[in-house]
Amino acid sequence: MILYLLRRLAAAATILLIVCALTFAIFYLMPDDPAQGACGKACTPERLAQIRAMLGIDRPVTDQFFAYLRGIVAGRRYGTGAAAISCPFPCLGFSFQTNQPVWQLLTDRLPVSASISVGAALLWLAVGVAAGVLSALRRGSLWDRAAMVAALGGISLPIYLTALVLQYVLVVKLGVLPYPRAVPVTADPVGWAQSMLMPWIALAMLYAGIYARITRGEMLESLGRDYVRTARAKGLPERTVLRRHALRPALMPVVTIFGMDLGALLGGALITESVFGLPGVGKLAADAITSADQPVIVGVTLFAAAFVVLANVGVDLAYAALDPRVRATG
Amino acid sequence: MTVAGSATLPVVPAAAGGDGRTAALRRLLVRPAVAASLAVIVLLVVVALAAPLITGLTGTTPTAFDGSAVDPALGGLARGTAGGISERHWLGVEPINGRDVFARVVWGTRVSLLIALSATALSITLGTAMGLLAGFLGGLADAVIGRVMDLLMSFPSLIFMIALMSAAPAVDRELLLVVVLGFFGWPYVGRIVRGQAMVLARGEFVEAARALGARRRSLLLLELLPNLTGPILVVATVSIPSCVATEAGLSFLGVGVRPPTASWGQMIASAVPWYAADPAYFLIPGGFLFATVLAFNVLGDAVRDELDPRSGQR
Repeated sequence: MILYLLRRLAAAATILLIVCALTFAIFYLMPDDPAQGACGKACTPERLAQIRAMLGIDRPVTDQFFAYLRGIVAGRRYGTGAAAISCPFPCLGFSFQTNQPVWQLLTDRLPVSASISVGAALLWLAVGVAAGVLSALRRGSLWDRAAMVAALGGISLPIYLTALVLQYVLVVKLGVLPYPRAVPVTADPVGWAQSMLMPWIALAMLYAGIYARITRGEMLESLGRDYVRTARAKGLPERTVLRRHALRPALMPVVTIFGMDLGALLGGALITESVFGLPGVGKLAADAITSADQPVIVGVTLFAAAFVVLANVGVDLAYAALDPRVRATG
Repeated sequence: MTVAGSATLPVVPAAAGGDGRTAALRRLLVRPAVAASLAVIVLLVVVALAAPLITGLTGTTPTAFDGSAVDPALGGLARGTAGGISERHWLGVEPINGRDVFARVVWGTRVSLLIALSATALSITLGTAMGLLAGFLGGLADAVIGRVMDLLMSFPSLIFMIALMSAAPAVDRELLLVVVLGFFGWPYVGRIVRGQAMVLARGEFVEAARALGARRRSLLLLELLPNLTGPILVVATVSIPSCVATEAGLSFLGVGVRPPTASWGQMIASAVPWYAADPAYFLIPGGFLFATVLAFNVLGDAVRDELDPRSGQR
């Protein structure tokens, strides 16, 4: 198991390294000069050269890349002597727009993204799995058809459209909810829940449909299995048969995609956060793209990639823990 | 990661004979939902192809400003109801500059479908080629291609696409979108084709062909490929709506299709500041986007149901 974990982590680190290299290559080899961005409007050639030296972009690309990597694991210093700026571990550089360390920007915004994604995830998991199980149990019924039509509709809805409709109806027309704003859950739990409700619903409409369809399919498959027949034949109560013998194996794939979806969202629900104006990691990325803030874009990409990759490892580990066959072949 | 992905993998029977296929097609067409979504898709394709003719008939263009249709006293809001719907502007106009929404939606259909279909074609071509090679050759080729597919599928592709699109220099945005969408889409095709090709490569008909002296290339193209049309069709129908949605999402975020070229996602993005005062402005392109994605999803779902016995649980 330890060996398996190490192998998985090594694979994850490799993927992150490749993401890092590719992102780095895209942004630092582009015609846009990052020094020009940092220098601003009142720029002189001397100042530009100074910034180039300070950012280290007068050096070869490979040097820059390794300096960036070293910064992530050990921190780095920009410039030399008294003018040097220290960037502690894990250093992802400084924002061109605000001059704040990118790592600090990311960690400041993570609670908002976490609030949005965890809340939405619980909502869609509950709704999606329940709808899927009910559909499978009443296969072909009116409920089943209606649920599956709704699921397909939910999957087809672009999230920004759902978000705009929700906000138009609930905030502008009916006035039952305030405009979402970022409040910490500890400071104002009611305000937090009110602000998060629309993002939760918008995200859950999309994902619940996917989960309902997967749960239904898997549940139908496991209901047809021999061990379910055996469980029934030996006289177990139907509830126990369904819960222990049908639902449990059916949920394995659901757990898989749940881990990956949650991981992807933790790295920033870009569109949702942008539409509702909630300052999470995704909004940070969207703003950085608008203002061409390269260090922030690279930082968010890596940050999000780390969540996706770690979620993958987590899912693989959960699988290995549940199913010994995976360990041997993984 | 390989285990994770395989959970939702549609497994399609290797040999679907010609007769089975026409029967399946007939069964598909009698379903009302399928017939309706096919009608929507045909309509969209016609609109996309005939965009210049249609806007020629209405006498509007997607880029012409119409100052008379908006009211400066209301901060540039469209005159009239529901975003300025009128005889001249069938679906209203944009606030401030008064561009015709109908013309923009029609031309947006063209952009959206062209990108989604080309990207799907690209990912299918790449994925089929890679999957065939990996599944048929096995060994080192399989290991290398498999690793690359694993890597690409565990990539945070959306955020990476955004980063890539935002950094890209001034090239043809539509072409870039096709390349980016196609590039991140092919592993999903490749994985399925690889699995099928591995099974088929062991089939007796392949052995027979080999015994008759068939070359490797003709084995791949004449023996394996024709047997893969089913699974490829299934992934294609699933890939199109996802490409439409992703392109719209990227354009919504401002990194996809750039103005003045019209795109649904970009239209919705520009409607965001106006959503409270002029909801029609985001509902119209949003409705087209939703209808398109839904129609392709319904069709894809039905095609998979017919071709994939595992999901055919109706």
